[in-house]
Amino acid sequence: MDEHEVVDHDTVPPANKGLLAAAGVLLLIPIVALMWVSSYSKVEPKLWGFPFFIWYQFLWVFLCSAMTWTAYQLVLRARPHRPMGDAQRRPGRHHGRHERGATIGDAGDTDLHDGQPLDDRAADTDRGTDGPTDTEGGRR
Amino acid sequence: MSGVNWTALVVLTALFLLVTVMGFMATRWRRPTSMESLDEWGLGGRSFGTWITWFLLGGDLYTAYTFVAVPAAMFATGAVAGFFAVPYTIVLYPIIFVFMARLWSVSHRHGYVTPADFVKGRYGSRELSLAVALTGFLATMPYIALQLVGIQAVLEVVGLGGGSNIIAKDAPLFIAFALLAAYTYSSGLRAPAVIAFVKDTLIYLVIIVAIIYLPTKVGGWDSIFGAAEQKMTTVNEATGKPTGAFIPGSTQMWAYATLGLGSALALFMYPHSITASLSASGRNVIRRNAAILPAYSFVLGLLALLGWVAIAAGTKPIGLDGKPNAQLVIPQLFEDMFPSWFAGIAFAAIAIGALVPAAIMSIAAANTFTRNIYREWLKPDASPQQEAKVSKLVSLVVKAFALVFVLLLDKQNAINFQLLGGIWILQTFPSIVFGLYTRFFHRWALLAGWAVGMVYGTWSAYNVVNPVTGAHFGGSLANIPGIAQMGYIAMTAFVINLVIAGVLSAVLNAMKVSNGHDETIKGDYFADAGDPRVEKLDVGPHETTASP
Repeated sequence: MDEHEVVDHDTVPPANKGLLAAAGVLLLIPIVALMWVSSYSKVEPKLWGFPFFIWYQFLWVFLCSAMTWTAYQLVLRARPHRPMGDAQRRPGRHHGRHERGATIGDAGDTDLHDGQPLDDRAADTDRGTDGPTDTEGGRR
Repeated sequence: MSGVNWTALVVLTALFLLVTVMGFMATRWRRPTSMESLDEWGLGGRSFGTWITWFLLGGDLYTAYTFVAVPAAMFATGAVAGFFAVPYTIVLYPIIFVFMARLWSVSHRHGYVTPADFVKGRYGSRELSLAVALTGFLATMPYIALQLVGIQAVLEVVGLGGGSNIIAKDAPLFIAFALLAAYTYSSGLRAPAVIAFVKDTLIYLVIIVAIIYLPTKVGGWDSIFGAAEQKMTTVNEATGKPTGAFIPGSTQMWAYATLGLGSALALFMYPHSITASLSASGRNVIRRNAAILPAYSFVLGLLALLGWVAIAAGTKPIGLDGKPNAQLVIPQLFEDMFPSWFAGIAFAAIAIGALVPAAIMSIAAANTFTRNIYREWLKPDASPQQEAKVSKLVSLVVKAFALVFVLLLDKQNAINFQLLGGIWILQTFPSIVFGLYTRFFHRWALLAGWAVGMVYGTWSAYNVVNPVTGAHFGGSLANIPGIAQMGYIAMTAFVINLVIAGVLSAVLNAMKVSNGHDETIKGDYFADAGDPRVEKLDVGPHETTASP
């Protein structure tokens, strides 16, 4: 086996840095907003009798959840899973995987029930096309 | 309060028996071929998907003590001490989103069960690993004891636990904990995972009913907030200061922010949070949960407001000993305002809410003891079967200890230790989380930062004196040196810890002092289910100077 065809797993898998940075910003916004206490420690304007201080923080529960979910979708696209356990894998393959990232991420919403990580499922499909040499059993 | 509320007691007992049966049956759920390993007994086979993890983590993090203590703090001293739980449990999730997937991946690859396992693997440092393990163990113990305090509050309001005979007085609590210990022993993490479904369903039901029904009984939200504002601004004769904070004043901003951020950074350093996270079936399960767990934060916020509803309702939380006890305010409010049968459901929600975290905490503490003290220092060649056996026994010992702690000592001790535990556990953050990203931080520097943070935090908390009783450990806020504002002691200690760890790391790295053997490779931090597990991956020498 040619040395150059081996994926070096002691490296960080390739990622779209821009998308990762965008996800980071989305995650940072709620923290900054809620740590900036003076921006919301006031009574007015009230909403249905609730002081601003109270309803504003309740609002952030939803905003933060939405931002975290968006960040999740971004990181799925930014860094698709690079399967391990196949040191024989040719480097060309993981470029292919990289391009496929968007479709993998789109499966996310339908994937909630069983808790199977969706990257993993995609990887399973990959293995199918690769034949039996590419399963984790090959490592044992 | 007089006599026993029989209707409520019957409902409470029935629901309690239901979850007990479920706890014992849990061993058959997703039955493994063998329960005789920590992966199966202590982590449920690392097989839980998104929704099970959601229930399990929700049941684990939002404990009975939280449900009792947060509204009690709102009732007694207002928003700074109580409502900070809302920003705390919001900013929590972006934080764990960032690092928890990495911890899951590296733990999956190397079979780590506890954070101290990871520290050992990353730095090859038994000492640093022991520091992390001991801190986790010590911080968890009082937390388990406080779950008992949650059950006690319910039993006391129902009318049980009176009388002078110590056996009769505490028999219900004793039985409850004995049952919990028995099914945790046999079913491991599967038991709390199953019970969490019941617990969370009951909690959601009770809070939603309470938040819709109770305000109509006390004159609506306007009068609730009016009553709260009036109580908080009234001058307390004992201290000469206002009773509490309706909303944080200009001198309380730092306190509010540091309490929220410090608690959020600390929560996922507790072994029980990490145990529940590592039991997930994939790295993205944790990330998806970071987006959907805030549902619990919303409920916690509503629950906090019930503390103010109790002010408007004129709830008088008086214990069976005749003394006022703010901790009883929520059970008392339910008893006063709800029909008996629904009060019983509400009490069951709190009592069962204590069982889930108590089970997971005792499992996590037991795993920590087994992996990082027993196997590391006492019996290095322990087999997986022996590990599981020791863990099961330790989970019993830990719960017995918590029971003795609460029954024999003043429960204020448990509350003090819990306060200290929060300060201590945050000091392990640099070793665990920074280690997931970089080897810049040096093992000895991390150990030094940890030690100084622990000592400073403990000393600082000791010096907080309750103005009324004169007792030490009177709270978790102290002056932040250099800012002249009150802040959460854990955060101040954390910053000192960071500075020391950072400066010493730079020095030790410049001196080329070995930073230990790193058994992980970069790809490990991105592994997912389906990637092979390795006992030890031989990647050649990884001896080590800093490699960011």
